[in-house]
Amino acid sequence: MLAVSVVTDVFRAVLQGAPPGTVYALVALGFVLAYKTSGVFNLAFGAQAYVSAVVYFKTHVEWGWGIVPSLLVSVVLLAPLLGLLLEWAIFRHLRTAPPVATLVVAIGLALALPNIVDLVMNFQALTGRAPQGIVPDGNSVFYDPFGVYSFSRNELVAMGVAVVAMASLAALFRFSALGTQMRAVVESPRMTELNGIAADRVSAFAWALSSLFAGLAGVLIAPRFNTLAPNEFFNIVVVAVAAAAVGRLVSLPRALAGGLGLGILIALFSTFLPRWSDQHTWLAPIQENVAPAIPFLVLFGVIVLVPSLRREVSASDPLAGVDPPPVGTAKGIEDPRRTMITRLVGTAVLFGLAAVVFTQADAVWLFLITQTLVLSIVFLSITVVTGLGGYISLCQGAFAAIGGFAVFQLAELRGWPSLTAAVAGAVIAGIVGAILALPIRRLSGIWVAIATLAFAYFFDAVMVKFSWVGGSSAQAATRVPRPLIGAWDFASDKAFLALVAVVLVVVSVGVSLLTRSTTGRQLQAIRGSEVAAQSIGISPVRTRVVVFGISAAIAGLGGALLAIHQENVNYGSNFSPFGGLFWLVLVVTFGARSTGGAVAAGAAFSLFDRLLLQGTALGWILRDAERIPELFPISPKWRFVLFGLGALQFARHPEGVIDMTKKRLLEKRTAKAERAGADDAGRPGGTEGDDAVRPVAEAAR
Amino acid sequence: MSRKNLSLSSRVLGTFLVGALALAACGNSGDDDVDAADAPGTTEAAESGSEDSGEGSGEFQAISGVPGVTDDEISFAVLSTGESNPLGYCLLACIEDGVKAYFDWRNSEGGLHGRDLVVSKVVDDELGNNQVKALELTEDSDVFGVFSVPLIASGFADLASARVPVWTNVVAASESAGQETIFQLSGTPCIKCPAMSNLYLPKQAGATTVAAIGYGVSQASKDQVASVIASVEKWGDDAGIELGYTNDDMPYGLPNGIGPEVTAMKEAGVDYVITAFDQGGALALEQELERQGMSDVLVQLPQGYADAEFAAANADLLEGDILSTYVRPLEANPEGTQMEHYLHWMEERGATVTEYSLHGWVMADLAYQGILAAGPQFDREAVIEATNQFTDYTGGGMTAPVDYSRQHNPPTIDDPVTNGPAQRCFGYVTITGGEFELIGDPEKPWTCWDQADGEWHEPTATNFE
Repeated sequence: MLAVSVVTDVFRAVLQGAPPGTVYALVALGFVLAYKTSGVFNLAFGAQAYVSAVVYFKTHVEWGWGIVPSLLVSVVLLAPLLGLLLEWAIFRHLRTAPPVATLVVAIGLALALPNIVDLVMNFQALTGRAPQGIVPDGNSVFYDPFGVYSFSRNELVAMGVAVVAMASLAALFRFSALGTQMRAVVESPRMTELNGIAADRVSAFAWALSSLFAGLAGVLIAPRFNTLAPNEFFNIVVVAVAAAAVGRLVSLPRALAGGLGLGILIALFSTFLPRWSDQHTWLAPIQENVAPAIPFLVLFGVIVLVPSLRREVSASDPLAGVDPPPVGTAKGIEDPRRTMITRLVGTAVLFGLAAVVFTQADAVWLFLITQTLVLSIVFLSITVVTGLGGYISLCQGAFAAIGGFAVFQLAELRGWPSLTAAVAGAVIAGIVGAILALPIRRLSGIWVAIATLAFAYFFDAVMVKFSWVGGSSAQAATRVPRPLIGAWDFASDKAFLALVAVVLVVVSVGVSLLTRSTTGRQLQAIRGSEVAAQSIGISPVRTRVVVFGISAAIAGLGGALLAIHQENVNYGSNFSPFGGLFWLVLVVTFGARSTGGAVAAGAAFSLFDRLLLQGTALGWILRDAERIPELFPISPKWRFVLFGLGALQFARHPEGVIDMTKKRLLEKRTAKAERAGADDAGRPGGTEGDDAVRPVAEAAR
Repeated sequence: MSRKNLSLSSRVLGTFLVGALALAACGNSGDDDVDAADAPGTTEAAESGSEDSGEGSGEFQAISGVPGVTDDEISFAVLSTGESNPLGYCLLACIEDGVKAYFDWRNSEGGLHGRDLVVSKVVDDELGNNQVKALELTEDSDVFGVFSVPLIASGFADLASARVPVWTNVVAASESAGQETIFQLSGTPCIKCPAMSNLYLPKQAGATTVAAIGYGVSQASKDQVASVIASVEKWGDDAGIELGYTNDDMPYGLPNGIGPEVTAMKEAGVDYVITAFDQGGALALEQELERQGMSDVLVQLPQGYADAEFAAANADLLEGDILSTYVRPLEANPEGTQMEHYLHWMEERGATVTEYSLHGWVMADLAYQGILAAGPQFDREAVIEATNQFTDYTGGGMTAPVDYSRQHNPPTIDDPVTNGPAQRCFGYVTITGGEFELIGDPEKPWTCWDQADGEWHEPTATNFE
């Protein structure tokens, strides 16, 4: 009798896991489809799905269109068009770009696309107005095929579509010439063209197809969400990556099975863990804390444990394969004399600005400028791990949160001095970072990124809730005191700003020294050629552990200072995984290889809204705040649009906007100098050019 | 008891709420049958309610150096989460509607101390920028006070440091705790304290086995589940209620569904579910209950009261569900209370009646009464001091009484009296045919429990006019 009951329970759990599993399967299928046909690890898949879901919701629910016209517009028409646009405008030019570069571009799109559609469609999520499916009464009519658990119409349609899609897409790849051509274009566009196939056309079709599927998936899975929110779609993608990873991103049947399996696994845990923990109390903490994180644990486990993923060798960053990796492109053509002058002028301007800030700035500007400097410290951790190490880490927010929570726990609750607690937080974060690097030590670039993303979500779902991490009220009362060092009280905003500025200088110098240190040079060697580096005794594993540890420690220190600055950890608004993506996008946009890029990213994060979106800068120019046009303030969503799209340049200019701009200025100056030299040479008594200019011109060439 | 046959004459059913679920634990103090004229707790403030002579309340005297105050106007800001609210419900706009409707009413009668009341700034904190926006308000120093109901109240400490009066509801209970300049509608709550209301509604509904379920990501949600557990442990035997199922670790958005959890409830014989979900989560729960043949199980919704569109759009699913409110239910007899004015002036503005606009209205009244009580030479400190002397504030019958002289700190499980309300009062409604219906007597819409006595007892139906 008991056995029958258990079998029934297992069967029911399997059925209960099928609907959410279908959601994961649909997204995993789309993910695999995009990867197979474009070679892009498309983290923007959820954003593409969101676009169609929003348009469907808007047309069907808000405007009252019928199901068919809404579906035609949002999925059949819009989704492929979006795919074609992305291919034509972005990905066609990135076919030969390394996977990590296209990953960053996809992250940028994941941030930009939802905000674009929100702005264009004037869409705002409304609670209780649940999205509707593509069949009437989709959520309220149920069918019970086995007499154990019933499915709604929406769920049955989604399951049917998933199975049909898997079969037809598998057939497309296996039996049709087009399927082979799509894979060939991903493998080698040049070779494909030599065989008489129009690679551009095939690639465009591939993007249209995968985008169509994204749109369909978006409309099908939307009814499972209570409100349409881009974060939810992104979270689903993160989980679905685990399902896709089961098949190494190429097997559609395995992606389908992986998605369903994940849903079923969660349902089984949800069914049996509470019962077992009633009988075995030691299981209770696992039930309470680990169960919500199962998807992320599975994702991490798949990435770390599936041997084929560990063995996969791909370029780890846009500069990989070059031996030795070049310094920032502008550095090669800089004129040392002019650089010195620029630095002196820059330092003078900096001191001038500091004087203005310390004498004129009000509380708001002091807050924002301090935040700029603090975030610059956090962003220097990305400089280390991405700019120097060449890895994309998507869990810097979690490392920073460790620092913040450490200050809360040690300083607020246990009475430690705040700065001591901050240093302790940095050390703890560093240790966590180093430990995290161990299981992912042999992964290639993309999988490092996804593993770190899984860790960020695990931290968010599990760790924050522990009383010894987030306290008893993780979202609210995590207050943090300002530091007091002997007679120096940093309670005032100005004093704390000065302290943060000193810390930033120290960390910046430390990062510069690290670049030139043995570890830094080992990292450069590994980025150039890991095998060659190993042949001269450099351990890639040790180096990766070190770089992750240092990066995490810097992030932890920055997070601690951010908490001290705001006098509260404010986890929800500072350190969420989705917010961490925005950090990365900002830093790579401005330049992940220089401290200047980190500082510029910090400034953009803190000041962009007030200076530009609120029209403050325009008010200064007009010298009258009253004359600021009514257009202002501009929606903060534009921040995500602009910087999300800004990340697109990473694939072609991994050095970032700052270095790229510097390089172009230098090139212009050099060209001008060359022209002037030529003119001089043509004139009687003229020389063949300025000696100081010549080497620069040569370098530029 | 079938959910569709829930007796409306059983005066009260009820329980708590989420987000605003803090209210479950929030208390209200005062005596039964308090007249609105006495409600604010200070005589002069109370009398203002009946001084609507068309010449305004209070006396004009020129004052200078008070932020946001000119000879013509008293300016306020509304600071809340607008279009970036990921939960999707109306906060900023609804609070603004309620405050402005209240000001329209008072201004139509001549204003306050010879001045018009105006909302000069409406600030969206974009979810994550509350602290910066709060600093901007303190720095500009051109508003007298701030009406604020943010999702993340990171700026409350700065507003408190600058001694800016803040009127809020209970969503930022942690940040408001201990701040004498921040006035919560129902005083600072203890969300996880046991509450008789958690058991009374199931008992009235004839239920014997309750479930409590909430999100792991929200401490308020977890605390609410803890409150239900503590309530059953303390009074379960008295009320004849046992705990069938609890879960305070559901992932937000319920991406994996809620099938196994509802199955566990079914197997435990649960006949009443207390949710600490948002509206969307509650809908998902309802769908799963229906799927598993448990549509007769009663569900208490934490949020969504006065959201007529929500109730109508999901009428079938929500049929018979119960919601609680800590402002006077719209369905009660409005006579003799500010509800009459609220409904009139909201209609005048063409604004939609919502729970949060009700909150905005009462917050505006508290500001008004505080300024009135401070006298014609008012400033921020005087208003803070005057408001903190209100011991029986009811907002003209719109809330149960609050004692601001001692309710800035939350009560505790061990000591629910010192900082807690003398009475814990709620209004309860049910959803019938897609519309809200009052549970209980329209003349006595409040259900109150005396807090002094920790023993299990029946509540009293009450009215605060």
